[in-house]
Amino acid sequence: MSYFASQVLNGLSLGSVYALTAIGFGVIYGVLRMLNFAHSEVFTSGVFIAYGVLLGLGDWGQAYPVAAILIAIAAAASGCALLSMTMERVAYRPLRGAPPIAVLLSAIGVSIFLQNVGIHAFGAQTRGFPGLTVGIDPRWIAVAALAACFGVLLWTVYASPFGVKLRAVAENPTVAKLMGVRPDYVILGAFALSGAYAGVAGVIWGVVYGTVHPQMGFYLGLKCFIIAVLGGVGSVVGTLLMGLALGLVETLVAAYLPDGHAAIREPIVLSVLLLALVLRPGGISGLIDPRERV
Amino acid sequence: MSRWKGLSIIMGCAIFAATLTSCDRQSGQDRPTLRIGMILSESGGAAAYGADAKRGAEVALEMARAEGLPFDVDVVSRDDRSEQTEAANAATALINIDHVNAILGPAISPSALSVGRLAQENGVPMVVTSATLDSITRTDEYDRTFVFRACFNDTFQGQAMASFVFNSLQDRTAAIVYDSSLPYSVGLSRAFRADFERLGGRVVSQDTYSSTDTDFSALITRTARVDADVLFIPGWDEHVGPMIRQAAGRWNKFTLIGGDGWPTDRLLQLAGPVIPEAYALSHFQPENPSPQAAAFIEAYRARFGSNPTPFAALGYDAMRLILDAAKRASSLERESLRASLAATRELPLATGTFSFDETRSARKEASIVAITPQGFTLRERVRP
Repeated sequence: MSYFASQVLNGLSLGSVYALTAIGFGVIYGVLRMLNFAHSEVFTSGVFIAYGVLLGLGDWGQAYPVAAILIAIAAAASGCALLSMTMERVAYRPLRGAPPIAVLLSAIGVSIFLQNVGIHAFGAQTRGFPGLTVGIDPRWIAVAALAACFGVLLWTVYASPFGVKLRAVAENPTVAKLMGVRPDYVILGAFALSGAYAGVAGVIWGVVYGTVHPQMGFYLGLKCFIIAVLGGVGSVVGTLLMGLALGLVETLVAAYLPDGHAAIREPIVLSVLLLALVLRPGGISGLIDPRERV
Repeated sequence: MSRWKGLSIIMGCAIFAATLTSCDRQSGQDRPTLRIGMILSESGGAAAYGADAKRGAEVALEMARAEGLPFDVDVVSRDDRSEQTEAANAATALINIDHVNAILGPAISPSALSVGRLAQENGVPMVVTSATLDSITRTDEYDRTFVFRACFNDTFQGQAMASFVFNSLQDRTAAIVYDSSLPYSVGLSRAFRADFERLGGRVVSQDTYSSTDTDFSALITRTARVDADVLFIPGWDEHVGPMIRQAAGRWNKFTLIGGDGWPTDRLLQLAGPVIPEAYALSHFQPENPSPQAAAFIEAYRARFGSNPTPFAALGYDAMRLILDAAKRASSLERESLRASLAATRELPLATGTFSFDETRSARKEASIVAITPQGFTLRERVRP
């Protein structure tokens, strides 16, 4: 594989994690117009669930790594969906109709709470994700997982009965209610969907990047939120494209900077994001499908 | 009558308790108390170094108490959370509120730099455990005469690794990847480069990462195309471990070389099941131990149920250095302790026979260890 191709694969792999996590931010904002800051911790929980499952599988997991990864994905997706639904029920639903700042503070509170629970339960140190020898480059696993998840997401949002209700609630919850849709259930479903995708992103992170840390989601979550905004909050396709684009920009900037200047990678990437926000404050969704909102 | 009897019993008990307290105070006057402030990283990125050093220091104190000390020892411990500002806050509190006679720690260079400045300004002797940055004790601009360290410095470390690569491995070209946000990493990369080039080797590329990075894939692909015999990465285990794992075999053409931040169990855990040929400098390798090292290993195993790490051994040595200096000092005043520490010569400790050099860093033997997923094995010993 050429140097450029290898760096593009690095970028797509990182972009896959970004896109899958950012989709959760976008879906929730599209439906509720709220910033779910605690979504970063749902991602972190996904990594920890997969970590626990793979440790539990032990030698069996080493003997059947593909099956072990699939089990970890199923466990992380369902665990994170459950966590996300619990957050909605306990911390957000009671504030439905409250000023946006109250919901935002509640989300920040949940985020800090989950981080501290993680530190208390697992310690603050970085741990190594259980190593699995799959036989293929782990970066391809990330790209394949993104492709599969994106296909399922497109079907869920645009072709399933739930997707119709989801888009109806995103468009106008009052009218949707008059049409017989129960917004509370749809919102709960949206949280489950966003949590499940964060769980899958967590497993990919563990398999490709190999670290677990209770506060690992915070910085990644900030980037993913920017991705969701730039993708056009609520736009599934826009979020996917922006996630991949950020992964590629970040990697290619690092790949072609002069030797010894890697420290300026983040400032360059964040400047690109800032410029993109200035040029298109509403994101790129209008370029893809002006009607799309979830 | 019974009421008077009860009152007499209570008064008797009170008099007895007061007598005991008085005796205790009397014995306290006979035995002075050495107050040691411990600043180590028990959490955060350097937790693997500080927590182990604390365990080692506790074992040293236990052993010294069992052997008999002419003074009482009171230890006040604070966690700097691997942060420079936390370390400075802890030092200020230990010096001004707890009035400690000496400070043990910190374990990492950024913390040691800020604590060292405060210790010097306030005239409090301190013994750093594993922070190797040269400028902690002395630079061209200042000489911190109250700051000592139980470990060697980066100049020695750079020389030792450059000599090992050039003379033992017979390799002539090196690539360097260092953490540009970490003074330790910057200092060690400079020391290695200077000595490797002085010996006749060539550094063909130099690249950087940052402590906040978690995705090293671009750096790995970038470095993999460099044509060099060895890849020197003077970083912490927390970053080097994930780097090796994410390389997933793409660095197999290099012999990996590291500094004293590598030989930890956490590196093995983070690096995963595939580690290319790799060597690192270690403060302590418990193969063929001296009598002092053997006693320490036995006591450590008895207390914690595992073998001590190099950082635990340095914690042990730092505590022993302070206690030995206090025993020899004319008083437990800070200046007396400093003078006594500076006079330490040929003291047998866990990591070797110890003297301070002109920079108040350790002048003692170091070990170069080979790293495999199973652990660390001694490759050779290096003398200053």
